[in-house]
Amino acid sequence: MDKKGKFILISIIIIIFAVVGFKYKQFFLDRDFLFLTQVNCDPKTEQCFRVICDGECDTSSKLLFMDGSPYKYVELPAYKAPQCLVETKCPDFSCKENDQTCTTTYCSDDTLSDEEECIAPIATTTDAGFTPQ
Amino acid sequence: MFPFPFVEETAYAMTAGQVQISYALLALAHIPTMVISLSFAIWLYWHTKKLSSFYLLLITIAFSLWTYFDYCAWTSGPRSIMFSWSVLDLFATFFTILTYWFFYSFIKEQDVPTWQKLVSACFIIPPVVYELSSFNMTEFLNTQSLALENQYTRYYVPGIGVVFLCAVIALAVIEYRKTTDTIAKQKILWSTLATGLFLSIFLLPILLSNLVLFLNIGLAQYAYNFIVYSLFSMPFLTGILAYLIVKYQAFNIKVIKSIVYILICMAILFVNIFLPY
Repeated sequence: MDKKGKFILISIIIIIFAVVGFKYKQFFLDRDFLFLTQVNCDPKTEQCFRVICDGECDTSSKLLFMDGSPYKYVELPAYKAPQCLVETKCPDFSCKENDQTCTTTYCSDDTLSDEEECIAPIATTTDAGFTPQ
Repeated sequence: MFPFPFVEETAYAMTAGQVQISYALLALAHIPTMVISLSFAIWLYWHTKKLSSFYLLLITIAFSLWTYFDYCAWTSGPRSIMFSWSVLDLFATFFTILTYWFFYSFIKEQDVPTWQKLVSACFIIPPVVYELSSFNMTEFLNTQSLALENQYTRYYVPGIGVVFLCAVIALAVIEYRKTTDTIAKQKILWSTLATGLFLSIFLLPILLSNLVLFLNIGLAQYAYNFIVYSLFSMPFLTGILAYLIVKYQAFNIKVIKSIVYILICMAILFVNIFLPY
């Protein structure tokens, strides 16, 4: 291999490992990315999501909220996410007041996906299914 | 679980994410492919010290790193997934470029011209740019254990794969027409088959995965499962090269040793494809 060929090859390798180092620092050490997860939602007071179950919901599922229980989304920088949230062991987590970087998403036509449905706040809906005026 | 760097928070992925493939199958698909291809390339380079075997060694190193980080992306927690997933395109682009360099140096028995090296090296720039910027991955979806990819960057690796596959085929056609020697023609055919299968078997599952995500046909949660089949590309490359060594004394290596490697490659291929079922 001539000198030019060696230079090109070594340059590519150096560039690749520089980017790998950068991403390692950014994601692995600094946790510089957004973190989106589901947390518990109170359908009495909040507009909650619920998974649409085919037939019956899987109550034995290890995945949170696959049993049809209500939830909302929380998005925050990963470096601010507590470990229990990462491990989905603190489903009652909520954003701190005045924390501009943490956002909560409730169910609406804009935020709904195909596998989900909205649960209207129970406080405003009677068992008969009509909303009191 | 293997005590490797970046493989951590393993209990998390199984309970919180939608992982449909068992750890055993993931390990079986990743680890042997990595170990065997690397050992084959090291053995080949050790015995030949040729430029083409040097490029093959680089291909297997880059492929092994891709395999390792892919394994981490399947089995780890958020920060490991984000990190390992983000570097996959770099290694995939690198060994795709090297595959052409290997093919060129193998059939022409000389190094790739500098201008071709420069042009092919330029293909590494886009993944470097989109990984350094916030264009590609910015968010981790804990609900699905997925890094949120940019919908356009997802097509980059299959795209350049097709470009280099065409380059390999074009070079093969030109050299095949030039050559009058029957054995040389056979070598060209087999080496084209080796590199062609390597690239296409690596790319097809990624393309299929992208297609499933693009068509949105309700199989999105299984889309990434196809990519595991990309790992089966490497046994085809090393296996056919080992066959070339036995049949045509490519690289001028003793036949007996090569037969052992062919058997090993076939065994790995068999284990990878059939044992999980």
